[in-house]
Amino acid sequence: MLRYLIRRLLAAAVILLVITVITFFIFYALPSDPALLACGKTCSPSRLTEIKHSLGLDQSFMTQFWEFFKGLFVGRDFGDQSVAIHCSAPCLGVSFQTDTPVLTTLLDDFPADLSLGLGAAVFFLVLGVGLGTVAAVRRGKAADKAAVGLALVGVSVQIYFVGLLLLFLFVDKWQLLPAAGYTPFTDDPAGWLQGLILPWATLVFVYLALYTRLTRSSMLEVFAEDYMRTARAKGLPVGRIVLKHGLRAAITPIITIFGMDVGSLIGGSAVITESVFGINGIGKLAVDSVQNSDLPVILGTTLFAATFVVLANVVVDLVYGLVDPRVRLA
Amino acid sequence: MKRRTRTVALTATTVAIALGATACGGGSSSDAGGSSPTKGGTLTILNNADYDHLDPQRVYTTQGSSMDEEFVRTLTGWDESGTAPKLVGDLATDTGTPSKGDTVWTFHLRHGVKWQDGTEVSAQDVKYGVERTFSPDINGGPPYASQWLVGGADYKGPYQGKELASIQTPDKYTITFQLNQPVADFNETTAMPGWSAVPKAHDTGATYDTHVWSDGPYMIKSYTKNKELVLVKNTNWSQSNDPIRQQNVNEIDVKFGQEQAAIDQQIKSDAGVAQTAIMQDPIAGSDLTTIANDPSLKSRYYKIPAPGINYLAINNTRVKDIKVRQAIEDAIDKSTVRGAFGGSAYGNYATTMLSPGIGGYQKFNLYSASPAGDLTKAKALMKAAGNPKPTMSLAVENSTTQTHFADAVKTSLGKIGVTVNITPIDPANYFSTIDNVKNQYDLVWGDWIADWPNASTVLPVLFDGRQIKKLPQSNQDLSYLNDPAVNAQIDKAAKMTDIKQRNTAYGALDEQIMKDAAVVPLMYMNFSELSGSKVGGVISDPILAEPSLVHVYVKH
Repeated sequence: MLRYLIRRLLAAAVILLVITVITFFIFYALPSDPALLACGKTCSPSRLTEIKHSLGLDQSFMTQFWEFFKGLFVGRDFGDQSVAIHCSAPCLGVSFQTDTPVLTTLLDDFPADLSLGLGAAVFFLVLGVGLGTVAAVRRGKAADKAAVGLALVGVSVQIYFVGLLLLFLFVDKWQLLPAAGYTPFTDDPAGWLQGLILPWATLVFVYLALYTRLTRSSMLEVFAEDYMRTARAKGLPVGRIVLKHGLRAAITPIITIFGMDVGSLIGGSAVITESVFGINGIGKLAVDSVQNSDLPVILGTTLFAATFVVLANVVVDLVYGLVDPRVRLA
Repeated sequence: MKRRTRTVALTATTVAIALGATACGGGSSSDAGGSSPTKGGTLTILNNADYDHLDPQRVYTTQGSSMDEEFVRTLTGWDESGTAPKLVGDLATDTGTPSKGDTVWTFHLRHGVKWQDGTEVSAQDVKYGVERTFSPDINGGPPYASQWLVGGADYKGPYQGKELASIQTPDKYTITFQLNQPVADFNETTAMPGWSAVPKAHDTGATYDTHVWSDGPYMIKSYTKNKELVLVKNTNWSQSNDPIRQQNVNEIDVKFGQEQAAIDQQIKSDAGVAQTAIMQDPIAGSDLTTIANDPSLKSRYYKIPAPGINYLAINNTRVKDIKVRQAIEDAIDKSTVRGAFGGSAYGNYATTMLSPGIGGYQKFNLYSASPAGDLTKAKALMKAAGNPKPTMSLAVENSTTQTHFADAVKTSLGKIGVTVNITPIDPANYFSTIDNVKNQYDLVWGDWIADWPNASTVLPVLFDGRQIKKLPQSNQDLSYLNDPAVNAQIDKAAKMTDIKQRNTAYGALDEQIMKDAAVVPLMYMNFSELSGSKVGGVISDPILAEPSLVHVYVKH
């Protein structure tokens, strides 16, 4: 088990390194020039050269990559000596746009994504699996049709639409909730909760569909297995058959998808939700950085998101071993 | 000026814009005149995006420059409490004294203007502030200091311990600038945020954005980029030596990052905190018509005419025949073009490159009297040119608004036998692409906002053909006009010290450019913003095209 874990983590580190190299390459292939963006409106060639130098963009690809890599372990200094910006290890660079160390920004934004992603995930997992199970048990009945129908609506509407509608109703019209925005849990737990109710609801509504449908079909498949018939023949109570024998076997594919979803949500993939509700998370940071050709932030957000997806996969594999006795990790 | 954030904001939001809007007149400075300001309370500003910079030497957007007015005092400034903006001394006692044919400008500083720590603002602080502009770390700001100050080309900023000799401070309250050319409106340049003081002891270099040291009525309490800026009262500021600002609210909270449509909806609803909130980014295109036409919002809707122009540049080196260019001027149907941008709320039809409100503007129209174009005249011109049936490439930003605009141009020009191929370019890279002289487009969309309300920051920037060689990566002469007569007139006007004579010269220059049929002016732009019902003292600022907050208060 431990050996398996170490092996997986090493592999994860290699994947992250490869992602770093690829992101660096893609950035260099882009036509945009961050120095020109920083320079402003009328930019003379000499001024452009100076800014390129100041941003370190005049060095070769390999040098820049090496500087970045070295910074991860020993930190770096940016800018003129007297007013240099220090970026301590592990240094992911300093944003061209905000002149802030990327890691500081990421860690600053992370609690918002964690709250948004994990909170929504708990709800859509519990509700989705619940609805899916009910739908499977009551196959063809009204409950099944209602659950599947609701799921279909959820998957069909846009986050942008649901989000603005919820905001309009709950904040602007009925004034049941305060204006949108993220309040750190440590500042004001009640405000934190109030600010997250609508974003959670939006994400749950959209993600619910997938989990309901997945659970339903997976459950139906399991119901057809021989051991389920045996369980029923033995006279076990229905609840026990469905939950212990049925759901435990049916949940494996759901865990796989759930792991990936949570990983990417925490890593910042809920960008539209963030934007509608004014939650400044990593997703928004990533989109802005691409628009501004802000390489250090592009790299940072990519690595950050990748780390969570990769880690979530490791966790999923470990959970397999716990849930499904057929899986043995070695 | 400052079109980066503006452009991004506009293209991102004018997506679902409705056509044919009819706007009611701007509810400008709704509460500025009548009721007297209330003290106290908190003003909330809801902005879609963070400022480009707040560091006064780096800021170059209308939003950032407008915000800086709360905590950065410039040598001169605009008093906008009257009917028209008036240039006044801000840090300086007056609007400066030119000598040696406008090549030397002297400013005397007010006594007793204090930093937030109570120390006095000195001429040396101003010198240091302006010198910062030259450092490559302090990038993004306007180019004027390095263009005009003697020795500016070789100066690299104060961080290596060097000073710029052409800025002299004979005593604590006097500062003199030596320029390498006559600049008659230099004292309007010095109203831009960069011409302000920075105390060396509190300069944090590239991170000064979040640490700007205040000499205005408010100061930064906290600033997390892309999240929130909180300003509180600067107790060392004194109303008695500030002719421009007031200190009414206790606190200003700026929140960044929400979708513009959500901000529009929130402020429009006027519930809770929205009552005391205002926006600095323009209303989303999809909401503009509804808001502009809602009579219940009239008192808190600000339609601010920008000193700017939305235009179509014709590459004169590619479309060489002036008759073809003139035919294009007559053929473009500006009514469909304006429809693409949002209709009448967006702006009035333009026939000149200078917009009304800019010094030097003269009303004239050399082409079609109807905004819908004059096809008969256009066709006749094409016939005179020998009916060439050319194919032209048109560069626009890749957004719904601009592709609609491109379609309108294509349809118009199709009627005179011009085939238009539309090239949409990623908005983030649009200007760096078309500003690069390597681009191969015949027609290019562009917009421009003056840095100060004078033709000198419009016509020379957009039509001096000599920059094509000098600034190969950031050429603003999108029409590639390099007319010796125009260049000579630019130099001549720049040397004129008499403002009236100078304005006449610029008016004539505008007409000369239109005679060359170098560009098709499309619309004089407006920017529209909305505030909550309890926000008072907002001034429509036609210089920055922003709701000015220097007199803002919240009603209790």
